[in-house]
Amino acid sequence: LKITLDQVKKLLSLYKLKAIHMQQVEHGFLVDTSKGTKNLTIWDNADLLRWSNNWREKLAEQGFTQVERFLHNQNQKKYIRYRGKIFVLSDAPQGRLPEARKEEDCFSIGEVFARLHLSLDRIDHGTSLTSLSFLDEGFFTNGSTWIKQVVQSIESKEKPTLEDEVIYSNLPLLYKRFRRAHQLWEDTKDAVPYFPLSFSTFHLNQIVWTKQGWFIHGGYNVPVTVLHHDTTNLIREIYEASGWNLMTVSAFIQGYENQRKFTDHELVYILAQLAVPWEVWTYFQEYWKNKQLEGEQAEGLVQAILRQRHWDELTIHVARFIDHRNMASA
Amino acid sequence: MEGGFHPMSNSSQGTYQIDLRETVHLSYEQLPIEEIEEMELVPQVRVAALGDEIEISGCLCLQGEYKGNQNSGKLDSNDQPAESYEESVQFEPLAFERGPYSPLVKQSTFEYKIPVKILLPKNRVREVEDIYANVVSFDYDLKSPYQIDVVATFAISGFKDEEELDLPLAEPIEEELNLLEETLAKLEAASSHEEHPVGEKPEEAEEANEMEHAMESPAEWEEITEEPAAEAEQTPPEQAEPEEQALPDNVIPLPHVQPTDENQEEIVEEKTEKDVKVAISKKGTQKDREAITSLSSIFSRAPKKEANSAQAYTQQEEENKSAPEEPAVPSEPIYLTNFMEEKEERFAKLKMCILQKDETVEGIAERYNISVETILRANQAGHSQIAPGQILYIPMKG
Repeated sequence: LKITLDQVKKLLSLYKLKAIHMQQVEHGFLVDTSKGTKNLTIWDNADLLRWSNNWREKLAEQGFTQVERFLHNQNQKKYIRYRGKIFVLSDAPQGRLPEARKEEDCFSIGEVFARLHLSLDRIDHGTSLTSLSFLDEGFFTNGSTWIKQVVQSIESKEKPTLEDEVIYSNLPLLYKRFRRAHQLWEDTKDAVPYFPLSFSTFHLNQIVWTKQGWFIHGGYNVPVTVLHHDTTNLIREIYEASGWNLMTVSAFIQGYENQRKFTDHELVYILAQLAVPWEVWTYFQEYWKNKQLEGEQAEGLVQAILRQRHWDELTIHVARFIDHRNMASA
Repeated sequence: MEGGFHPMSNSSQGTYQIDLRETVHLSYEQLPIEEIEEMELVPQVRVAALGDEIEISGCLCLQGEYKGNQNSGKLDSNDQPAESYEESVQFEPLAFERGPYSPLVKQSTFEYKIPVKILLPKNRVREVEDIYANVVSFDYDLKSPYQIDVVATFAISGFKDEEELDLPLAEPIEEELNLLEETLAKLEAASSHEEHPVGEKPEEAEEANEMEHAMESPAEWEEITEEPAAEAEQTPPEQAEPEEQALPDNVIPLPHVQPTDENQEEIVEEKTEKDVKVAISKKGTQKDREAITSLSSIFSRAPKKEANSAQAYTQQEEENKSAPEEPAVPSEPIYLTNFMEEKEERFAKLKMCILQKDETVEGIAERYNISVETILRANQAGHSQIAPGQILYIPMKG
């Protein structure tokens, strides 16, 4: 969608704001106005937008006002339909990003993130959004079938390359992870549909430190799914950004549980996701699709395999946390 | 294939036994071993007369069939969840290298030939056709899916019985050595007897007298004193003895000999020509080179004439002390006895390895913590003569 500055000015006039300068960003525009910097975001899915507004408002209702809320225009409307899209305006926060290497920041992020999840717990969806997870029986079945196909394909090669052999030697290890993730998922699959909806992904930069404290923003057009895909994603991001420091993960979990306790099923669901070697999986699929890996892709696979060792450690770390908690509650 | 020490002994009359201890590594073309189904060690040797010597050459052929680890590269869908979550997510790390073994291998048999070359004085043999080899005992231990330790004793039979030999070989080597040392000491003492005041070393004088009485012939006395006396000047008996005690396993021990008058002449004659020599041929089969990553040599211990080897040994020691930088180049194959004559004598054992495609002599030298020059010298080769697939002798410090 191409929007000119004049068109933006026209939209902002509904908010009694004067657009001075605008910059196109991922989901809309960052606009300097006469009353500060604003986010003008563009949405396609009205249900998703409504859900997004709900958690922001619910969070504010619960006393956590440091959240990016959609502004009303002079007509007391939050949403503007224009050229088939929905436009919303919000304040753009100014602050520093959290430092993943600092355990205290990770603890705070855990607390703030738990507050966000608490707001989700209480949302009356009122939307057509469904709580489907992309971790389902089909995912694991298809994954296992795919691995078997690749195994047979490489075995049938008359002259397998070294690349084939590397892939081949890793397939049983990949399969083991898939199998174990599948087993973990089966342990909790009946509970998962009752998890509240949440973001499919949530990034560390969606929380910033402002003069008023930690501030939650972003989350535009992000698909929703059952709870804790975002948690898994955030834990992985913190762990990697911290330089693979497991203590930052512990700090995050501790901060989270300071505000909201994970249920047993939630923890196992997180563990099931961590057990899936996503990054390596992606490269293997790339190999399967192209029948080979180009130079950069081959190097990327090597790096992904190296990083997988960290992911394995993270998985064990979270599993150990679950075991300890189970022992404590026994 | 790696090997341990291989003492050779004249365990019974007319038979020499060689103990083997070899470590066989599977090649990257072979399936990891789950269970050995069949294994045999077959001597494949030929006996030939070469001048004054009998050469027994060939190999010990190790053949085996095994149940390969078919799960290698296979997908295990029967794994059960572990008791704890932590245990359940303990995964084997993914590998960004293929590793030394191809995951696509199908072969579940192996064959390896241990080259053997043994030289014996011809006078030990009545007829060449009498010589035969057989495996006396054989056992193995599966150390890992890729490694088998083999222990075996094989015998070479058909020699003359000891009674038939000109030289008795019955007494233990150590005793003979001690006797020789004592003899040398006494002779030295006797030769300098007049220089010492009477009573200063009464026991030496007395023993020298006893020795003198033991020798029936003054002519033979002269012959004995001439050789050992010269040797004694170079290597005092009190030094030679500890060296013998600390003799490494790859050092052929001093032979034993009855200091009888009849044998004195023969001892001198046989000292360089009639020793038993056991060697590993440098030339393995092509298959050996491909299949085995490393191996070490067979070391031998053979009964020999006492005076000859004693002299040879002490002379070698002396030569080593004088430290000639460039040892004499032994002829092919590299006999251990020849090897012992070189400066590398200080190494207690030899290891053999096959230079891989991606390996360099420098890398090998670094791995074994020795110099490149030492390896080249041990292999009698220049740097440019070393090529992948070639068996390298690696002198190992004991």
